[in-house]
Amino acid sequence: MIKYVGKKVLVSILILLLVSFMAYWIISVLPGDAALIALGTEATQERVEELRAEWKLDEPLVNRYGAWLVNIVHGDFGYSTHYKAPCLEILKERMPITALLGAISLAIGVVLGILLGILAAVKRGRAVDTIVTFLANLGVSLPVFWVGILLIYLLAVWLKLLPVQGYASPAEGIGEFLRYACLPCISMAWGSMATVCRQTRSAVLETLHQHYVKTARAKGLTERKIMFRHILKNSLIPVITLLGFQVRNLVGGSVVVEQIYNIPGMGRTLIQAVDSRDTNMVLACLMLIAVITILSSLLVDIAYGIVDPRIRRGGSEA
Amino acid sequence: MSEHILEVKQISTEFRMKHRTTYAVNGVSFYLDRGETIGIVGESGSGKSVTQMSALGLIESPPGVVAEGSVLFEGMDLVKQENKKMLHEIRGKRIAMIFQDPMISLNPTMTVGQQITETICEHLKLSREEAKKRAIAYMKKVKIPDAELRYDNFPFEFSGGMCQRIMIAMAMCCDPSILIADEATTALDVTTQAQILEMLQDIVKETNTSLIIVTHNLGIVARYADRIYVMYGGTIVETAETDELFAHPSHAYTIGLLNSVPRLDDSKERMLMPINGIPPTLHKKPERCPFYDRCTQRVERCEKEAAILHEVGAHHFSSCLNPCLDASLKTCDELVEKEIDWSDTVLKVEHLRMDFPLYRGSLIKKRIGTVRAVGGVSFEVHRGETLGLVGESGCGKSTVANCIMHLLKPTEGRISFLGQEVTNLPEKEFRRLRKDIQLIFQDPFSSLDPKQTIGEIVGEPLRVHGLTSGEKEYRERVTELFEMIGLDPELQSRAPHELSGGQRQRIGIARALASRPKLIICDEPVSALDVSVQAQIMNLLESLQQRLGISYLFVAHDLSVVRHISDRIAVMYLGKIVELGDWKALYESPLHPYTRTLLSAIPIPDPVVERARERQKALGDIPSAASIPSGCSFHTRCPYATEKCRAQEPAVTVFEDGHQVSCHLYAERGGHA
Amino acid sequence: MKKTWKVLFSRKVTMIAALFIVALILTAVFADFVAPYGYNDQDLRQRLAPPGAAHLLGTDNYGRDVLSRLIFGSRISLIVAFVSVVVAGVAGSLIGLIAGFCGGVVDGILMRLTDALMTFPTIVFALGISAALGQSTFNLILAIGISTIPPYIRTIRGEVMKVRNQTYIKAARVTGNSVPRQLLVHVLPNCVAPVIVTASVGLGGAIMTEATLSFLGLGVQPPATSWGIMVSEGSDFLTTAPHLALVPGIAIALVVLAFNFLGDGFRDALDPHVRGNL
Repeated sequence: MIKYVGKKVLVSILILLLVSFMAYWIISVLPGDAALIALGTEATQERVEELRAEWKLDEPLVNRYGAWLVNIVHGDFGYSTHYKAPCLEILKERMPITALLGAISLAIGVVLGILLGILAAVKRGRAVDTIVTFLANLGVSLPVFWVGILLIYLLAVWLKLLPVQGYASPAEGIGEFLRYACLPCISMAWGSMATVCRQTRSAVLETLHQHYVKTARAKGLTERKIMFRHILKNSLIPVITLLGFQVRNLVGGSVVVEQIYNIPGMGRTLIQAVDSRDTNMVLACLMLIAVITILSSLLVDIAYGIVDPRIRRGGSEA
Repeated sequence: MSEHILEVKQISTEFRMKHRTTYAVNGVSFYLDRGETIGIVGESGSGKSVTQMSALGLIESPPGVVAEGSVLFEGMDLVKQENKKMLHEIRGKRIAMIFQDPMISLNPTMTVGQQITETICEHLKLSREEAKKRAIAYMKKVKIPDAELRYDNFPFEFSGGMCQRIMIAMAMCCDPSILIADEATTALDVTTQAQILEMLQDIVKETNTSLIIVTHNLGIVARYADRIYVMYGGTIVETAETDELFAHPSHAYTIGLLNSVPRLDDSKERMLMPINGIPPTLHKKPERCPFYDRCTQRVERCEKEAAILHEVGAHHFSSCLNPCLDASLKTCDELVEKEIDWSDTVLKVEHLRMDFPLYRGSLIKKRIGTVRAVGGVSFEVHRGETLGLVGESGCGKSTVANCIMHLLKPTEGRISFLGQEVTNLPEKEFRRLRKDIQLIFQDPFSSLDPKQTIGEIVGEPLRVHGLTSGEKEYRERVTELFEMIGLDPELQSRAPHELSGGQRQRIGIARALASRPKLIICDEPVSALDVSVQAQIMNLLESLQQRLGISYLFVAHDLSVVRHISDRIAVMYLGKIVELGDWKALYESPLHPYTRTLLSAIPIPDPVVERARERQKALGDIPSAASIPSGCSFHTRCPYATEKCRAQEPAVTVFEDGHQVSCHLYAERGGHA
Repeated sequence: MKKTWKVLFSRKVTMIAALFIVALILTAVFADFVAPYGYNDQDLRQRLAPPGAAHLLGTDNYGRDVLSRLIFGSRISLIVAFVSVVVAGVAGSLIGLIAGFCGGVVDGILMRLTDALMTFPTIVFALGISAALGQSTFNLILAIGISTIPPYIRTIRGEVMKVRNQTYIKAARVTGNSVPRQLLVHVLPNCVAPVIVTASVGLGGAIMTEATLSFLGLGVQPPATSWGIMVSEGSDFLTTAPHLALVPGIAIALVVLAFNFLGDGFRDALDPHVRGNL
């Protein structure tokens, strides 16, 4: 098991390096001369040369990447030209907002998704199943931004129950926080819930036909016990794999949702950084997102290893 | 009537699918007495398993429905039982069941101990501690070594045979009155099968449990059952006490079955009589005898009348309407002498060795050991001869076949084909030889490309090797091949999945024949088929050999099948040939203890012969090929093993008649090779 | 194959979804004839009109006919979706085929690259691309195409590995087929089925992503129009003319739903287990 985890950690670090290189190359090399872009076309030749020297743009790509990487490891993400502050400071302020909303959405989406998926599978073929399946199909088909707008229209514009946009931190009172966080979280959770629900349903249905379920029945266990002891545990193992994907999708969703609801989180920061060509900030955001998604899939792999005795006991997975 | 512990009356089960209904079981009745063992025999699709599942209420519903009938257990009707709690108490506690595939019938994420304890806690109201103690006691009872330690192991850490022992422990741990074994040993090797069945018999006799053995194997019921029910097409066609049934089979199907199954004690003259045609699909409720379409002994009455069980002897019932059935085993009129050219060696294998490295890790591979799949095997196949290569799973027989077919590169040794050494020939050059050396596969379902028509499959060798000039000759040759294997050439445009298992295997044979090969390697060609179909394929292979003079290397695990077709037989154990000899010598005076164990393990479908047989039992499980025992590799299971056997590998002893054996017991007698 | 089609269309949902998609493609192709107005025809007297007889789905703040814009907008949405799916499908299938057939180190490297590619959600990936290369329809296709490659790689790779171990591939070799013939005649035809499923669902996904990116102003640039832009423009008038944002959103949902149902239909039709039960 230790070997298994160790290997997974190594691979994750490898992928993170690969991703960071790709990101660095695309963002700071592909667009062209950063100094020229920063100063505009009317800058004097000397000023450009000066900036090039200051930013070490004449050095080979690998050296520049290496220097950048070393800085990042030391917590220096560079200076944001848009926010006129070090990137790290901005992100320290904004990241927690995204993380909090994301975690709430993930919890809602996964818990409800699994419960509804189980419900649909248990009542397969009945009305409940048809309704849940239909809603789940609808859920994976509706774009996040449109769900957001629809919710604003229904609950904020039409029924006037909740504020249209904005954000209040929990420090300003839990009630106020929930009033603002409610719609963004629902918009984000909606899609994950639908995906998790569909996958859970099909995983449970598949497990229902396994031979060991027949054995459990022949043992005289009640349907309840068969469901809880034999079917659920085995069918939820594949669903775990899905959690990594959900984190990734939620990060994507947060970009959209923060834009719609005007929430000062990381997603909105990324869009503003892209709009204002704030290279350092874009890179900082991308690296943060990469760490989040890679870490979450690493955790999923480890969780998988804990749940599945074949990995826990065997160690080799050939 | 109430003395029966279980009585099933007129039970019918249907599977109601969207577009059609399958009438899987139609009005089946049987009973079981306390302490009795009954056998339910039938081929796949006969409804034998569905009947048992229906009786226990384990049919998956929907689509399955028990349409009518009653199941009386100690006088209580299980079908109409409204009290669900009562049903749960009977299942597992009073009536237990074990299934065919032990590896997938256990929950992969629970330890075996937990799974046994779960059953005990469910039914016996014991404390956790007591339940665990009881579970371990039962694990010891089914002879699991180190039961206390193994309690916390997961199913994937056991072999198939051990998993089935766990299943039995789980079934027996609440002392049920009835145990149903549904094809419980089919997936296991013959020696393991024999061990498990013997143990099962001992346990049920000791606890006075009634046992229902559901199987397709006539030999097993002949050996273990007191009474037998024969099922076909969802009905019971015949039932009698075991001796009576085998002595006076009274249904055309039972006779057909006995006539199609090869026996270990057969004479060479005996002819296998296949049952032609395919079993009914049961999409309609049968109105006459379900065997009508395939029956060779049907009479006028059969067409119109419904077949109902009637008494034909003491406790003997049959539904056959033909009053004067011919029940004798068929023999050939005259034995056709095979033409074998002993001076013409088609294939020569010398000291073939195949090691598989054992790796750990997926990114950076580290070699941690070696699996010796084949450890020095030598034999020859002559023109027109059939050499049988026999052994249990993992003995290396398929690896030998794959090496000869150039699918694996042997670690050591020489393979010569038609006098030319081919061991190290590059694939490109060997490809030209492939037309002379062909392979027939075990699984007729997965060996045909689902995207090709069967005509294309049969014609592919012709195209690949450019054996025909022009489209006309190609089409004529394909038609000829279809006729040769007894399939209508009109079927050429069908897809493989539209054919039955037997028909597909014929296509596999036609493909192998297309390039007129000199040698065909048959890798378990009949083991995936139903017994009545097996005989068709065996006969086809035999007649083709006589017509075309091909040599066969016949790889199989079933000694009774090999006996019929082989001229000489080689027995393999853990990568070595332990005995090789003329078929008569090998069956009538087997020398190696392993050969004798293997022969004893195969039950003969004749209770009288069975009782008279002397048996030799092997000890323990087959060791893994990754850790082959020192000296003679059979010494861990051999009852005659001595110190010498543990230390020293036996040399090959050859007798005058060519019979050779690798065993220290015979070292002094024959001359050394 | 004939049977596959029969099973595919024996389900009403799949049938309706397929018909809907065909109708959509036809209206997009013949937009000039079908649409009642031009997509940029302004009628300033009829601004923000609710749905009615003259304008079936109302008009926007410039008095442009929503239905016509919807029809013309579907062109770009569909083109972006189809092109990006073809790009992703071809590239992904090729890489997957190589990874699955070669195995070993090649497979390991390709799969780690796939993992790296999967690190960023499509939207973030597209943000990165537009930060580097600017905003255009071409870059949009590039972003969607590249970031949706991984599912194809995984599907084909898994399928090739499964098929490669089938006995009929061994049989093909024993018969004397050369390696290229084995691949082309026996492996490939048995692997394509799941790609159809992935592509069908992928089309829906691409339409959704295109709309999202255009909504954020990172995709199609005005005056060209797409459904995402229509929602974006309409969201400013939620209080006065909610239909502006709602109508194109419903259109997106319907198309994505249709592609998902079609994908589900394909999956069931190509799955022999399901087929046997019908």
